[in-house]
Amino acid sequence: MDRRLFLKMVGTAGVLGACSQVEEPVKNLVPFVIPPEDVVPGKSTGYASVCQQCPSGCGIVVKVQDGQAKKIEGNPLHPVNQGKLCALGESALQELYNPDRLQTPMKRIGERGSGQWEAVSWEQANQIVVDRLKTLENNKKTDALYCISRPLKGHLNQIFNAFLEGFGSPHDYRYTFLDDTVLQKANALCFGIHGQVEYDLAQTNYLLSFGANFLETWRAPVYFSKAYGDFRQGKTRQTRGKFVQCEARMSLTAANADQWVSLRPGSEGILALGVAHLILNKGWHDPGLSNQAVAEWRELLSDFKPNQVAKWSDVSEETLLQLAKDFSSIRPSLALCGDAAMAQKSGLFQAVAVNILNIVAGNIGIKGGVQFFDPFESIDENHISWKEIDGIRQKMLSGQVQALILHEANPLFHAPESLRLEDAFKNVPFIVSLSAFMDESSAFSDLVLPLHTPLESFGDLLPSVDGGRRSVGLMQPVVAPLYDTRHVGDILMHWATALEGSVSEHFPWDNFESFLKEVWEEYFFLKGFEDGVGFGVDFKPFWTELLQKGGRWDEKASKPKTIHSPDIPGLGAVIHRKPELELLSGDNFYFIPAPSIFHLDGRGANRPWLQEAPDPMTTITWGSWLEIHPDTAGQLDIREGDLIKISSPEGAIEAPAYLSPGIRPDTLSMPIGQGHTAYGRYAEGRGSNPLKIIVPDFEAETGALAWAGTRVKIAKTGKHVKIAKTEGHTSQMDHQMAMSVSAEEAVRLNQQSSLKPIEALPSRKGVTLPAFFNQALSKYFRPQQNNQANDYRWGMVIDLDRCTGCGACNVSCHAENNLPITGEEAVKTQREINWIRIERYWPKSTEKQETPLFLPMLCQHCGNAPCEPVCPVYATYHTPDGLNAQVYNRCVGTRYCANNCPYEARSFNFVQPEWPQPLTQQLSPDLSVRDAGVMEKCTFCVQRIRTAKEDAKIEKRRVRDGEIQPACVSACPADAMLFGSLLDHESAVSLAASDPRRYRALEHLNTESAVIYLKRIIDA
Amino acid sequence: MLVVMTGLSDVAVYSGNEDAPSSRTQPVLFSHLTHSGQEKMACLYCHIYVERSSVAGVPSVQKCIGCHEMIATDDPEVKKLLTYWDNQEAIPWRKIYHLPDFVYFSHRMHVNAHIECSECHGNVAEMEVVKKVSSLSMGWCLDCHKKKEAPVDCNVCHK
Repeated sequence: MDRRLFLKMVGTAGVLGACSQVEEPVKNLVPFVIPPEDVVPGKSTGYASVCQQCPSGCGIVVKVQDGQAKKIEGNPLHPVNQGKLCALGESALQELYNPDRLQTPMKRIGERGSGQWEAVSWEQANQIVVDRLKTLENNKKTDALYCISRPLKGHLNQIFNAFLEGFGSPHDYRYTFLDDTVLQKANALCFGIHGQVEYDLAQTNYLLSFGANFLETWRAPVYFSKAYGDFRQGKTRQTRGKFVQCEARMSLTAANADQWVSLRPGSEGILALGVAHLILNKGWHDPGLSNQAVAEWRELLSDFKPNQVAKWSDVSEETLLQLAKDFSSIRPSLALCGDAAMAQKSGLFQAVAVNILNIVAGNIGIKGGVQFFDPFESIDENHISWKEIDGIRQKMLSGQVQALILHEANPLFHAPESLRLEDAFKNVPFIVSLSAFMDESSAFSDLVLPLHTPLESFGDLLPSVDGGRRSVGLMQPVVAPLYDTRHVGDILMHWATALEGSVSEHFPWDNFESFLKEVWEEYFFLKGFEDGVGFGVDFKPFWTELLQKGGRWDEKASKPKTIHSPDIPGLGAVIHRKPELELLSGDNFYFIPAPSIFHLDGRGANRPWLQEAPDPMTTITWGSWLEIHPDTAGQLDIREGDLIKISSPEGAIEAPAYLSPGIRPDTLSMPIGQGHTAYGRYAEGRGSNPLKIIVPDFEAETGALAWAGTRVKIAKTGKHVKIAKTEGHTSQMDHQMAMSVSAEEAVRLNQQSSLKPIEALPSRKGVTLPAFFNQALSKYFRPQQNNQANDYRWGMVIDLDRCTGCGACNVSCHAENNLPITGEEAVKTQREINWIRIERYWPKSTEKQETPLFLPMLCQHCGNAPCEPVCPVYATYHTPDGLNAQVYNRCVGTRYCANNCPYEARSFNFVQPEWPQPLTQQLSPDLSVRDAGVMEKCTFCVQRIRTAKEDAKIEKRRVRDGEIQPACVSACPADAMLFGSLLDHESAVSLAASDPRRYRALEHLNTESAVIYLKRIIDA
Repeated sequence: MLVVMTGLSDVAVYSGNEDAPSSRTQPVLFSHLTHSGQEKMACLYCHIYVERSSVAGVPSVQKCIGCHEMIATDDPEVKKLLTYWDNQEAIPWRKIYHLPDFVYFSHRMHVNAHIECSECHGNVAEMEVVKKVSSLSMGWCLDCHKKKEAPVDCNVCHK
């Protein structure tokens, strides 16, 4: 080729290239072949189901648009969560659309745990399992088949029972790391009851919690958050409830308490009995107790004298007396016990002690106390404790376990290193794991069969609490399965059929769906309810209605069961096994692994939303940390980010130090949930797992793992890392962003206030702004000329006395508004993107108060917005409805607006956002997907406002109050947020805005913001 | 239970080209002239979502077959249609009117405000093959919004 020809060719290619670029790419419009009845393209449809992320059993409604799930909201009808949802529940979408989901069955080809797999077909995979099982059958070794499943709490349990029983194995077990066994055992001992226990938090007046983190991980956090909101500021309440939390590490729950009592870890029960002892001796006990009972209690608790208890628990005698006085005089009162308090060798003692406190104060079976109910149906599951797992481990080592079925259970992640569970697994000839993800336990098996995620499955679930409104939730698939996955029930049925013989006789159904229909028809339809529903009607429409509603529940709470007084001397066996006071020796520390509000026991770690969500107490994202008291850190010369080696007798891990005043100086804490060695790109190799160094001690009676009873030593490694956290300063200095008042002040404000909600509001004629806006400053309100002509001025009220700081709003916002995941490095450089964040401000050292204040910070939609006049291209401006709007395609990225925003409510896209497939399927088409170089911020969910306004326009009416709920408001578990028009003087938001606790953040800047906060009340 | 629809939720980048690919052929040569001109079929007979949703909706194959199972079955284009139906395949129609992703447009609101289809789409009853008759530029939208005193606030259309 000569030079000329070469140039000609290059030239021609260039022209061709240029031509092809001119042409617009063809876009297709692909209609349905046969349109489904209930789908309108461009509109979302809601499908009711049940959340499976934790055992609470919240009802959900999944918004599906064009066959893709876009957003999960709480089911407003459901008795557990009443329309609310937590961060973990929101993230079920990222379980469904997770890029690391297993797509086909995988067969191990390398060594166990070496990570070498080959994809096999379902036929091959099932054949492998069936062959293995047949061999066991032929060798008469059917009892060598073991099954460990997550708790099922629904009729799927029957399928597992039938399969194992039919096959001839008694080893059908349920395992979860955070279980209720200790509490259940304690209730059985004290009350002789196995039924559902309910804590009526919403109606109690004094709450004393011993380590129960009911706002984060304990039992049903959304249910309790809703109840907590009402406990503080419920409309029907006479007075605000007072809350004291006793634990060694200030959890998020403790941070919401009026008083945090920091006690020696493991002495919770002793403190509870100390309080009970004082109540009895002072004669403050329940007047309903017989003289004999009082005498027996006094006798039983004679050891727990105040000075002894104070020595054991490190709580002063004054505090002890105060607790006893308040607990017995503020009626009704309620004591809770949970989490780290029970995860001790003396766990049962702790739980029984708290029960005794409730009994002595007369809190059993009353409104606002502890109540027991009969559920619709109890599902008997064979839960195994860690002690039993240890037993199975020994059987594995001795070769008694020939085959193991794992179902969504990940014991290898939770198992302390010293149990050497992996070695035992190696000794099992065949392990099959049924799971949607390659987690640690699946990675150690021979065959992994991919399951549908809950949003693709049928099922049902008994919730852990429902306030006495007996309920069962019903799950339906909301989208077609993404991959070649199966329902676990269908897999077991398939195996049973292939095995023939007796096991196949247990399964007369075609598939799990028909089984489920049959049991529901039998149980809820033919048997009928007490209210007679079900008789003489066709089942099909009844079933459809159940699916639409998301389950079956009573409209009203049933009558609590009557409880007989306990056998007091009989409790002596437990009480006399009180833990001995073991003072720390040498350089040891108490070590408390804390279940994470986002990752729970580690299951949430593969969801990028949850990784990026700042931990409420530390604002740390994407990793682990070691919480250490600043005084301790000072003594050991440890600074934030110093990599610390934490060693127990059983092993050592490393984590960066984070200095927090919310922990005792003799105690250290680490979050549970990180440190995965498998489980996908977002979880793997991130942080470290504190459970690995736990000393495997068990609770004596129940065999539960005492995961909070380990002592550790620490040493600096000399290495330093930058922690990816979102906090700037730890306190708000003197800025008064988050404000609080004392309880007395709040009462005084209420009495003095002339701002009675209705009277304070001006008439519709003349001034159109609520009184709050009509003060002296409102002459500066912009844009004034529009106020008269407009129909709406959107505003929000956030009650800081209800807000728990849980962060559900943040994740809900990510889901609704296509927020990108920026990653750990971006967070380190303050380049994360959040439209709403929770600020956590520690009090100044000069203040009496110990607990921090939480402040949800979002765009304040200022009337006088500082961001608007500085935009050179008019990309940010004020809408007639009072929204501060951002037009993304106008934005050129000067970032002037963000620099001028006093609330730091704006985020800039520094990097091109990435959504690995199929995460894109979750993106909402109702708003733009922003590129790098664009500024973005909260819009008050303008797409929801737009839809509501359009509906109203077509129906020729105004938007109804409460019709619009931005994503944060709709999720908020504690019901702390309200949204509506401030121009409508009877709207809920206007009425709330006339509360005397109201203020606006940085009001002196005259931004005339549309977000009105109500001050937190602290009753210390 | 649910069918995944592509196309309606595609996340493509706006290329900025104003010219419609009207010259390109559709997979089936559907004639608006025949259907809405000669046969005087109402727009809503096929575009069934136009009053309810932001998108007007392209008729399902089932809808076409509703008539063409019996009518004009010898026509070569109808035969193509029947093949799609026999294979239970969707027809990948080519889009004539395309709006960029950052624009929100609702057919529902326009139809309910009594804007005739022809005001934007031209008189398709006279078109054998539909041509793009409006630029869909922001200026074009705003001209009409101003004339009819419809809202001109940025947030109404920009999402």
